[in-house]
Amino acid sequence: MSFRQDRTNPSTAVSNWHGRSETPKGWPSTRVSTWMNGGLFGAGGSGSSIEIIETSTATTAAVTFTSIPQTYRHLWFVWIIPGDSHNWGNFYSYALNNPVLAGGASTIFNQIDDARALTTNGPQPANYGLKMAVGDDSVSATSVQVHDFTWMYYSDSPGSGTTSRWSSALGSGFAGNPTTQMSQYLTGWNEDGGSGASLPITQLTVNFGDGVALPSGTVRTLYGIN
Amino acid sequence: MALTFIAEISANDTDTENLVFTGIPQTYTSLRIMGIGNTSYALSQGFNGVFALQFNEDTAALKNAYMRQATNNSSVLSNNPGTFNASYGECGSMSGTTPDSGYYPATYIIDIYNYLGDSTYGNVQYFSRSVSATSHSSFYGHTAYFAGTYKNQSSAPGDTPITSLQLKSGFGNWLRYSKFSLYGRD
Repeated sequence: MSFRQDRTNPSTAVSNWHGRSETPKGWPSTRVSTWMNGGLFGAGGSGSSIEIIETSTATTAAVTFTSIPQTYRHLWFVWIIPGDSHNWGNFYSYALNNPVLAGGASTIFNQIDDARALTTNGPQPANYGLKMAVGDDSVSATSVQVHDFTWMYYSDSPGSGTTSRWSSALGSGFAGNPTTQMSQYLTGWNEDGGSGASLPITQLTVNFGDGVALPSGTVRTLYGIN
Repeated sequence: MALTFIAEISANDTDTENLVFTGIPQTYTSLRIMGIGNTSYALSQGFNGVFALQFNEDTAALKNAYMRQATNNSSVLSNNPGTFNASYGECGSMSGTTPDSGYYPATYIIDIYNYLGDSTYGNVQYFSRSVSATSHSSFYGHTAYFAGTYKNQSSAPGDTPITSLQLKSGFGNWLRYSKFSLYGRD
C-alpha cells in the first residue's frame, strides 16, 4: 500500500471508515500522525478526537498558551470559573502570532436575564485583545461560569487572494446561579489579516477583562481536536 | 462525550456550490459538523448568505422547517418565527466577498440528532451556531442560533437513515478555503 505520509487524499466517501485494511481511506485528508495520536490506534478504544494540550489552574487574570502544536484540525478552549463576587463580565483573547494584528473584530449576542443585546468591537488597534465574552458584575458566590471557544482550522497556512482566509473562532458561555441572575452569549471572533498573516495560530493568550485575580478552582484547558 | 472524526470536505482548488459528506456511518448517537466557510457572492449584508443543509441530498419541497435567533453587525434582530415546508434546512450564514474580498470566514458548529432512522425518536433534528465578525460596519458580521428538522420519513416519521449531508452555498459558491469536518458523537 502506498500513500503520502504527511496527508492522505481528500475523500467524501466514509463507508470504509476505520477499516484497518484500508487505513488511508478510513481517515481521509488527515495527517497520518493523527491515526496514532488518540485516533485510530489510540489506547482505550474510545477513538475520541479530543486531546488535552494544556490545563492551567493558575488564578492570574491572564494565561498564555505557547508553542501550540500544529497537528490538530481545531483548537477548543474551555474556561470554568467558580463563584466569586468580582467583575466576571468580560474577557479578551490576544497575542495570536504575537504581537496581535490590528483590525480584528468580534461580535457578541448576549442575554442577561430577559434582556438581549449586542456588543460589537472592531476594528481594533494593534496589540489590542479581541473581546470574547460579555456579562455582568457581582454574581454571588454560588454562581458558576463556563466559557468555550473553538478556533477552526487554526493550523492552516496563510495565503493571498480569495483562496486564503483569516483566523476565526466561535464562542459561547453561560454564567449564573440557581436563584437570581443568569447570562449567556454567542460570540463571533475574526482576526483581520490586512496588515499581515493571521494563520497559523501558534500562541494564544486569554485575559480576564478587569485584570483581577480569579478565584481558586478556576480551570482553563486548551484542547486539540483531530 | 466521545467525539470521533469521520471525514473532511473542502472546496479544494475551485469554488464549489455543494460540499457533500456521503457514506455516513450508522454507528453513532449523533453527528457534529465543525467548519469554516464563505461564499464567492458579493452580499449586501451577512444574512443574505444562506448555508443550506440538505439531508440525503433530498431537495424536495415540504420536507424541512427551521428558525433562528440572531444579530447582525448593528443590532439584535427580531425573532424569526420560523420557515415551514422548505426544501432545505437553513443552518448558517456568511459575510460574502464585499468585506475585503472574502477574507472573513464564518464559523459553524452543527449538531444533528436522530439520524439513524429510528422512528422511536421521530424526525431528524439539528441545532446550529453560525458566527462571523468583520471590521466593516455595514451588517456583514452576524451571530445566530438555528434549529430545525427534516422529515426523514417513508412509512413512519423518522424511519429513513441519513447517509449523506449536503452543505450548500445558497448564493454563489463556497470559497475554496471553506472546509468542514464531520464527527460522530456517543
